[in-house]
Amino acid sequence: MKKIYVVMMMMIAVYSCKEKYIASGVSTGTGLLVVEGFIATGPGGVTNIRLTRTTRLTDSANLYEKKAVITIQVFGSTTTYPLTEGANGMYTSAALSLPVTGKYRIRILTSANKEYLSDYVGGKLTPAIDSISWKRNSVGDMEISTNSKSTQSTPYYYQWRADQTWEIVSEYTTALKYKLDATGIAVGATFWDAVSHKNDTTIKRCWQNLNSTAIRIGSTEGLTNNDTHELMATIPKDGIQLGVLYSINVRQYSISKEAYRFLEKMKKNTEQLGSIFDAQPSELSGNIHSTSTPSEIVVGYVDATQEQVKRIFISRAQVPDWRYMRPCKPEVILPANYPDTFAYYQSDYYPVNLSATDVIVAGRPCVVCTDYGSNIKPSFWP
Amino acid sequence: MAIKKTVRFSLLTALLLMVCTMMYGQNQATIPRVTVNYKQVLLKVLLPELEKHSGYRFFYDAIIIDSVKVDISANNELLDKVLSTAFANTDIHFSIDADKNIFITKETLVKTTLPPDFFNEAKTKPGTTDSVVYFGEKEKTVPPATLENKLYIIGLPNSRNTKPRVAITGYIHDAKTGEPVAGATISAGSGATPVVTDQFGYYALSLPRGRHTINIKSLGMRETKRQLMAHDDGGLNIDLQSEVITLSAVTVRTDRTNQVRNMQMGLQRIDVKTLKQVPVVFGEADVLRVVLTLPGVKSVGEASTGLNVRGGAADQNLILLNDATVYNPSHVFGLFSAFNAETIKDVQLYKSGIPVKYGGRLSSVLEVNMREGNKKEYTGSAGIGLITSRFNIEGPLKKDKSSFIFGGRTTYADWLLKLLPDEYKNSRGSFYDINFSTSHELGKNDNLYLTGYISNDRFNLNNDTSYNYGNRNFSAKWKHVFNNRWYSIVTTGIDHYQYGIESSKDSAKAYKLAFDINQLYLKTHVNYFANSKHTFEFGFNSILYKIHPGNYQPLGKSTIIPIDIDAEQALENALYISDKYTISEPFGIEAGIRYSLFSYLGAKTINTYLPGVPLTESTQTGSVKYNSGTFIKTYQAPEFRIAARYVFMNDMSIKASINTQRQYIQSLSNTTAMAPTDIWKLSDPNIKPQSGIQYSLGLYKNFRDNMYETSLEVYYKHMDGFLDYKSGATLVLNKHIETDVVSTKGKAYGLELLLKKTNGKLNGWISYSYSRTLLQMKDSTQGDPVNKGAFYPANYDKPHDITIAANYKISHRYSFSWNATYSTGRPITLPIGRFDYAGGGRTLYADRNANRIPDYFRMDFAITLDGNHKVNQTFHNSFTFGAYNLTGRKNPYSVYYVSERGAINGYKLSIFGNIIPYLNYNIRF
Repeated sequence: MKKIYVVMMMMIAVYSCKEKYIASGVSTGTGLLVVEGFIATGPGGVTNIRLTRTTRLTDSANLYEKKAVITIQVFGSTTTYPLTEGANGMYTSAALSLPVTGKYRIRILTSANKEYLSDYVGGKLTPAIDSISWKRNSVGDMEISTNSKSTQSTPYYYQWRADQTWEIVSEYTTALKYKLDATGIAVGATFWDAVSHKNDTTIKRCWQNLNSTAIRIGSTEGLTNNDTHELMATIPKDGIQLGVLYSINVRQYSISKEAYRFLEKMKKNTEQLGSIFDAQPSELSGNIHSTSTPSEIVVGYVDATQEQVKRIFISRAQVPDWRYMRPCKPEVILPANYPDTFAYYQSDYYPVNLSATDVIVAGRPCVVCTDYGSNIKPSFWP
Repeated sequence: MAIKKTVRFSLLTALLLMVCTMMYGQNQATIPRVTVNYKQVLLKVLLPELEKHSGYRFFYDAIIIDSVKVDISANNELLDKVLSTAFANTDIHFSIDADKNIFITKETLVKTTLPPDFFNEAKTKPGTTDSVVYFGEKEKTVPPATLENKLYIIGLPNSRNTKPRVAITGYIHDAKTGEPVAGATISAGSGATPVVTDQFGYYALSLPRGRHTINIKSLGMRETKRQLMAHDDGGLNIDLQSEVITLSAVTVRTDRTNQVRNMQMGLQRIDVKTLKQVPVVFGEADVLRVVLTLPGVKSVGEASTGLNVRGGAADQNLILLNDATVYNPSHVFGLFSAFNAETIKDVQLYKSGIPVKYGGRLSSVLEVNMREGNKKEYTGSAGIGLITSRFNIEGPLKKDKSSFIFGGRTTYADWLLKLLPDEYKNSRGSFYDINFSTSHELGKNDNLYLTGYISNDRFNLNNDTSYNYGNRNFSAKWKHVFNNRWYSIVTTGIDHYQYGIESSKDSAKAYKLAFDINQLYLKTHVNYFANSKHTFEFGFNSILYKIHPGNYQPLGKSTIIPIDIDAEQALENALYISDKYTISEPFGIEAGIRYSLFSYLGAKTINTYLPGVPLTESTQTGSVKYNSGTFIKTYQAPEFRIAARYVFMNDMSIKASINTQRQYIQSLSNTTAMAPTDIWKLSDPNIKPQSGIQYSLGLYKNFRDNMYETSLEVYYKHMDGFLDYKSGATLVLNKHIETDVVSTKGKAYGLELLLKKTNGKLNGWISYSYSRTLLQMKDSTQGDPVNKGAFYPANYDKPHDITIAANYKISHRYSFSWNATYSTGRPITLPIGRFDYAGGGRTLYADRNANRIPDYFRMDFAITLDGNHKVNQTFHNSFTFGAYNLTGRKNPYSVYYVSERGAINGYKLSIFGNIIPYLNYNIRF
């Protein structure tokens, strides 16, 4: 009997199940207007609305809607507030301080002279972010959550955006760089600064960004109190993010139940697919309509709310036992300055030291931080 | 425990016993074996030939056999058997006496022995007319009639019964195990309409008074016949020899002529032998997967055993295990069916022409019948496969009177979950199922059957979420035979299905969710065999439902508010009657009516809404609280079941049927596959019951002496009240679920072709179906029309479907099975455009099910090796090895687009994207 078991076990192969697939010729819904943004209520609120158009599935670039006229309209009033066009389809208002008691909508007049109106929505105040907390979970990953308290009796519906930034300091500092021939092939190592021979500080310290790409929503519906505790980011155990200093910026919006349902549906349609028991993708209807052709699909839900922002920093020193370590072992190339050897190492290694007889190279990630992020220090960085 | 003898031993005993009783007091084993092979040979040529080979002498009247031609083909077979086969379709009879003489006669049979009780008059009661009745209905017990060439006399020649026809009833049993044989056909002469035994092996046959030869055929059993002289009503029990034990015959003769002459249409029956030889994934003999190879049955994909029968939804099938309703017949989220093939006798699927005794579901009835257990000796089996270990044991509680069967399966395979897509990688799972059934013969006319079934699944997904679900069913059935014409069956039982989810992913929102459904039922069924032209069936069904739609409780320091949705109660009653009316030999009609009455009961709070507008939270006007026991809402309607059959030639018929059905309980699911966590919902004042009508027409023809069966069936079906879901519907823990569902209409139509080879070394079937299932939601008083009110294909609409299932017997010990299936890819909703929103690329969806996934194709094979058939062997072992998805094709289960790190990526998900070999080892004892 035991033998059979062994045979069985041997017969078990690993079955891969998921592969990339692009269905052909299904993009019939292109060129439809997409409206994203909030009407900012509360003190000093600046409204940002972005207009784009739908593209083919296989496209990756956005199609921005330019030269449109967007105004904020107030229910029961003739007052309107204009937005001015910026780059990449973004339209921005002045700091308006719209009262939260009012009802607002936006009117869009495109350059093709088509008019779109959103439904009137009530203004809302968003509770301030009480704290952003972090703790390590059972497998050692770092979980960062946002916390808000509220005494309001009705449930809150939230949308968040969480943008992360972390500092990267290269393990090796170098004053060298590859010397390239006309075709870009490394033929030797030379000093970065031929005159002073000083270290190349532009590749020593960088900042990497990871902007929120997932729809982050949550609600206090069905909870005994309206306090919120929501996971914003997870840093894999011993990851580079906490190698030096890490920062997360959380933006919090209190939204209406309808806006929440809209985003929930969009999340289900675009992020929660691929299991055996998927819910079926569904049509997405927002609150913006064309006045001339009501059946036209317009994507987006424009709500009126206030933005609350909080940023925290976590340094490596604050996290005990964070074992971020890269295998940065230098290697010696002999003989020095031999062109073929350099060409061979070029993509993976970077020269860090030069002696009379040999060159010491180290893994490129250990030297060149600009491969990860920008070497321009963000304004908020301490 | 008594250890059973070996196969060969039983075989020999069976053969020897037959010969022995036939020779009656003679030295056994003297009937010679002969090898002859003739086509359409004249008897007067054949008989001298046989005399030469056998050393026996034939006596006959030359005039009688003058022009009689027979087909004969025997390879070292017993002479008497050769003759029975040769004369099967003639009116020639033969008798063999002790002195090697064979008497050939026409119509009458020469008796070479005296009746068994000829010298036993003391045992009978002198002075009563009954005393010489051997097979009379008043006899206390009816011994089985075992001899093919013996004339059984039923009633007395001077019987006072002057009716032109008499009723013969009795039971057909398996000679080896004593278990009843269901679905056996009994016919008197080749042109007559056969009757079919019921699940108890019981039959009732009407015959003109006089001399008859009746043929008894059953799947997996050797075909046999009995001679009888019917003077009066009486009983005749017949034991059939299982085909497995005949070494000499390799033919598999199934219920031939059955489909042509039966009144029933749209019925598919699979016995456990066929079931086990169809190769399936991981080699687990799987009832539902085999049903899926039949024409007209589809599923949304490999991860689902949810059946879509002729365009019906998966919840529109009534799945009965010995009368108990099984709400979730699957293990591992639908990968395997939850029925243990070792304890199953057969499976019957009614696609149309649903008998009037069944109701409550729109599409089909799937009867899974358990075996009753061996009534003669203890036997059992154990097996090990890739997924489960199995054990079953059966035997008599009291020899020949009562028996039991117990079967259990359990899994030891966490590795299986690792084969599933990445999401399930860190998962653990286990399942088991237990079947138990006993059968008791309380007296000559009373039988009691008890059945129990428990199945359970437990899964732990990624360590923080656990699911469990299970069925529990218990039933008791009492069959009482009043007399030859009347019998009744009373069944009662409880069915229970539950699932639970626990999640501790987020400690502040940790919860426990429970759902269960309970039903208590009573079914009374009466069969009245009025005369040769009319058979009536009538009865009464009653089901009391209690559903707990959702109980949601916090776990640990969770801050969620507990939700406990009011239980739902309902009572479903149905009264039915049907008449099977044989107007003439070729023309028959069966008409029935079932009146169903469904009452939604309190205590319950019912939401009320504005009339004529879509039900939403904003159109809710209030709610009404009803007390316990109140009849809140009653739905009632008659259901009609009409079928007709006309036989053209001996082997060709046309059938038509009209069926109407109603359904008062439905599963709510907005996932493509039927998930174990779907909830079931009773019809209530806001959700109307579903109803449907199906018209079907079929043409049946058998060829080559019934070796090939062909059928062509077409159907059109209309469904009303089919539930679909509004975009983004919440179905669990929803106190106003009526606002999230819409009632749609559906239509389905199709054509099904089946070619079946029923015997020979190679047997199997090829089926093709063309079918469409279209749904429509255009009622704007319910909400936004789906796809602008146009018809759209259902998730399981796969127009073309071809399946081939074949088995080739290389020898008695080796057989080879192969199947192949092709179908059109199922409809799917694909995005029609891309946009950027909330930081990432997003997809835009519009029309539902406007695209299809790539077509499906799969081939499997299996080889079964039986251990040797040596005598005196304690254990018999067999191996099955095979491969599922032989070509390793990555058949897509779904195609989807997902936003990952801001970019849109398209994927094709295959459940079994590789060749899956398997090995199964079984021992019998």
